Amino acid sequence: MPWSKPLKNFQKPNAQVRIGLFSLPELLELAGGVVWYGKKAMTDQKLLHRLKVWRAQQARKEGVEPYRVLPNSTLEEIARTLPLVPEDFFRIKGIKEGRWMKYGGMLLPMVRDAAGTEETTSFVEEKTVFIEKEESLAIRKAQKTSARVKRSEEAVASLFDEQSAVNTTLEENEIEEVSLSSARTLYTVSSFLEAINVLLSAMTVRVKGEVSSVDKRDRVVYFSIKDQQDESLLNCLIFRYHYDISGVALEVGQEIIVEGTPEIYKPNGRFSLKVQSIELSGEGALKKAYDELRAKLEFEGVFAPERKRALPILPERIALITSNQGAAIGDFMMNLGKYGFTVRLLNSSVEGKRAVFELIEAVRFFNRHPEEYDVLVIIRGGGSLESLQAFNSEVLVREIAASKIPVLAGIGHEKDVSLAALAADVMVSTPTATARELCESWQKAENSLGQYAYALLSNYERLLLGIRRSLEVKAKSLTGFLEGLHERFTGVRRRLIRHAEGIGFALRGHKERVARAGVLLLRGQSVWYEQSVQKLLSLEGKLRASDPRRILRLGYSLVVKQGRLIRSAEQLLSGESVDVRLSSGSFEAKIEKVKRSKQEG
Amino acid sequence: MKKTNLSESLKKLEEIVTWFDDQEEVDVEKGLEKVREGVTLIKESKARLKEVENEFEEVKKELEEANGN
Repeated sequence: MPWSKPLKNFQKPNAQVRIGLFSLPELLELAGGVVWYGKKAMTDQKLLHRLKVWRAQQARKEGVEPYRVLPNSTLEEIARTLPLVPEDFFRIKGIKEGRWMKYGGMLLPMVRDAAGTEETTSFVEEKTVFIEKEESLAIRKAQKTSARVKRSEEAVASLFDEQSAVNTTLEENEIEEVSLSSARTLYTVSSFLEAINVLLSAMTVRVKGEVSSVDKRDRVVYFSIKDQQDESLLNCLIFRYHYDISGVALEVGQEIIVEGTPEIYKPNGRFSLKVQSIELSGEGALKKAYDELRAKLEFEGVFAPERKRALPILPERIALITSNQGAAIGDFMMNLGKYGFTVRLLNSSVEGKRAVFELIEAVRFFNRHPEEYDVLVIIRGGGSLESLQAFNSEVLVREIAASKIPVLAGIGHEKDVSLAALAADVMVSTPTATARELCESWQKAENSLGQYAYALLSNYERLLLGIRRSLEVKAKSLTGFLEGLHERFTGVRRRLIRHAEGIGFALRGHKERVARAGVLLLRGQSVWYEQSVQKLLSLEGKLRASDPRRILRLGYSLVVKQGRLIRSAEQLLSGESVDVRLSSGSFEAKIEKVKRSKQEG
Repeated sequence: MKKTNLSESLKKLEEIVTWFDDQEEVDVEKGLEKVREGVTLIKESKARLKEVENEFEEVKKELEEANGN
């Protein structure tokens, strides 16, 4: 809609229509001015109240004092003047481009509402339609869709189109336009640039180009990209925070795609693109960057196996980061067995530029209370290298490496493993595998239960049996003692008896022997008597025979010398005297001569 | 209380049996005393063991029922 462009203000008002003394524009301006002044006199209390309520909410949201959102004087002026166009707002003290951009979208509806009760309806109607466009532009600035960008692009294009076509259709409206803005057709440089910037702020774009210069400062990186075809140049700037998150190290000659909002820097009137994210163009470049980053992180030891923690066994409290609309979440929940898991899902895009921010914030969110979770699970379905880019962001990788909660990553991959997965403590290939991984220790426990039950029973049974046996053995041992005793007594008794019998036997033997000896003795005695008598008789006989007197009677004589009997002549010497005995009497003789006989011998 | 009874009885019984083994000469009076003591212990232990076995059977049944679920 052409007449939504305040830039129409630049055209000379159509001064040819005249009504009476005044030209139409002048007339209407007057009318408008009257109404305007009339409005100025009244302060809409209802609106003021509403504004204050809104301000309080906003202050809470931002975590600041209400007066920092907008001071009372500003709110009052809004309520008084009922601004319906940006310029009206800018007239109010306390509202400049910045605040307009921030709050315009919220303030306008409120003012419109209030203004709707005014009587100057036609005025307002035109303004309203105009404002609606303004409003949508202001609101859409906060959204980033290419459709909207396209609309803005078209708007810009048509802005510089043949103005004649636009002119003719606008005749009617233009009058109103003129009257509205006739007080404002003359801009100051500053207000003009501001107005331009408001327009530009609606036009977030993605631009491809080749880096032609890079100037890295402390808080900002200034760079420029050029069109490879005709060398047109676009100046860019990016805040350090966004630059780091983008993870692209700018180098001259790189082909990149930047996404951002154009603006004119008022102090030097320079047109540049305020870039929010940079990405490399082309898959080859992506691969190269991936390889470099991977090598760098590996060298630092971010992926070192020693750093990785084992997931706790029997995990219960799961922190889950994924898109609540992707295929991943479905797969995950389906394969998560019923083990009483408590899963807290923090939705995050897993693709596109927002993904990096959201993923990082999600990891940080859970890590604010690491004691509340057992495992941090990050999953997403498969995709191309480009769609997985968010998971190769250096800041995200470091955030994961620094997570106090053990991280389990199931980020679908084709050939290349994402760096985020490499940095995780445990990496599996799909969201389904992730769920399985979590269930593994539970399943094992479940299986073990059966074994444990059996072992428990059998072990205890064995114990009882052992005790029973032990008792039997002891009982036997005791009775064994008694029996042993008994046996010993019995044995001793037996031996005693045997001994006694032996003695008796021996005694009997003696008795017999004695008796027998008596008998033998008697018998022996008579025999002995007889023999003795015989012996005596024989002896007597022998004696008688041996009696020497008998021999003498035979005529033999005994020679005795000095009482000794002489048997041999050698015993005699001549001259000796001897006694000779005869059977009757004896005589003495003296030896005259001794003769030795030969017969003796 | 229960477990200790059984274990303690067993321990005492063990002591009695060892005493017999260690004896070189048989002290009949003492031996008889010990036997009497031992027999009492055995009776008590067997009774207690039976109790325990019964309880265990019940628990085992419960466990098997639970496993079946």
